[in-house]
Amino acid sequence: MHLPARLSALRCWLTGADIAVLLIAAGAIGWSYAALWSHNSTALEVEIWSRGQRVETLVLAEDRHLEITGALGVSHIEIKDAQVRFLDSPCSNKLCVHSGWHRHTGETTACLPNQVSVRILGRDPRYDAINF
Amino acid sequence: MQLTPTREDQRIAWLTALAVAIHLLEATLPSPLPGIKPGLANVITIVVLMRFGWSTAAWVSLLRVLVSGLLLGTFLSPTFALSLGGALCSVAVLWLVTRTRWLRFGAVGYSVLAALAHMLGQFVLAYALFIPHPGLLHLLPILLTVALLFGVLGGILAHMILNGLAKTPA
Repeated sequence: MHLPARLSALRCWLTGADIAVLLIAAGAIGWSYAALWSHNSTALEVEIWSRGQRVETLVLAEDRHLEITGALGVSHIEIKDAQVRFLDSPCSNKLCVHSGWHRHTGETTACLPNQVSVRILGRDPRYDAINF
Repeated sequence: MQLTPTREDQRIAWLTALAVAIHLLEATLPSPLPGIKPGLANVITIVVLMRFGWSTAAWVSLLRVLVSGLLLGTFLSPTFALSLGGALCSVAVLWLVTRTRWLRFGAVGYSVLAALAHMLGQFVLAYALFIPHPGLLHLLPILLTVALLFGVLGGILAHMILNGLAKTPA
C-alpha cells in the first residue's frame, strides 16, 4: 500500500483537530513528567537567619565557610558535601555544634543564644513537621 | 399531574441504562491504581454526543453517574464526588469544543478530550478536597498517560460503533 493511501485511511479516523489534540496532549503529558518527576537535590538551598533577619541564602551544593554575626558574637557555619553544620558559636552549651551535620529538606538548626538559625530548603520536604 | 415522556426523554433513558450497565460492569474490574479504569462508559457519551448532540450526551453522562452511584452504594461518598466532578468536567470541555465551529473533531479527538478532562477534574478535586499533599502530584503524569491511552481506545471504539450505526436507520 502506498503511503498517501495509508494516510487517507488514517484521515477517515482522525481529523486535523484530532491529530492536534493528540499531539498537544502527548506534549503536555511529556512536560508533566519532566516537571513533576524531576528530583534535583542540587536545588536545595540553605537560609541563614540572624537576629530575626535573613542574612544569606546559599546553594547547599557549594562548599562554604561562613561567619555570621549574631547577638553574642560570630557563629561559624560550614557547608560541605551538601551538608551544613555549626562549626563554632559563642554560646555556653554548644547545642548547635553538637547537633552536627544537617542535610534534609525542612531541617532547621539554630544557636538560640546567638540568635542564628539555619534552614534547609528544597522542593520535597522529608517531614511535614518535626516535634521535639 | 401526569408527565408524558418525550421521544428525547426515552432516548436519554435507554442510553443512560446502557451507560449504567457498562459503568457497573467496569466497577467490578480490579484496578492497579486508584483512579485508573478504562472508562468505557465514556464511549457511550461520545457516541451519543456525535449522534444526538451535546445536551443528550450531558444528560446521559450525568444521569449515568447518579444512577451508578445509587446502585453501587457510593452516592454522596467521596467516590461519587470524584466521579461527578470528572463527568462535569468532561461534559464542560465537550460543550466548549462543540461550540467552536472551526474545529472539526472526530470520535478520537472528543474521546481523548473527555478522558483527559475527566481525569484532570477528578484529580483537582481529589487534591483540593481529600489529599492536598504534593506527593499526589507524582501520580498525575501516570494518570494522564493512562487517560490518553484509554481515551484513544475509547475513541476508536466509538468510531466503530458510529460506523455501525450509520449503516442502520435511526
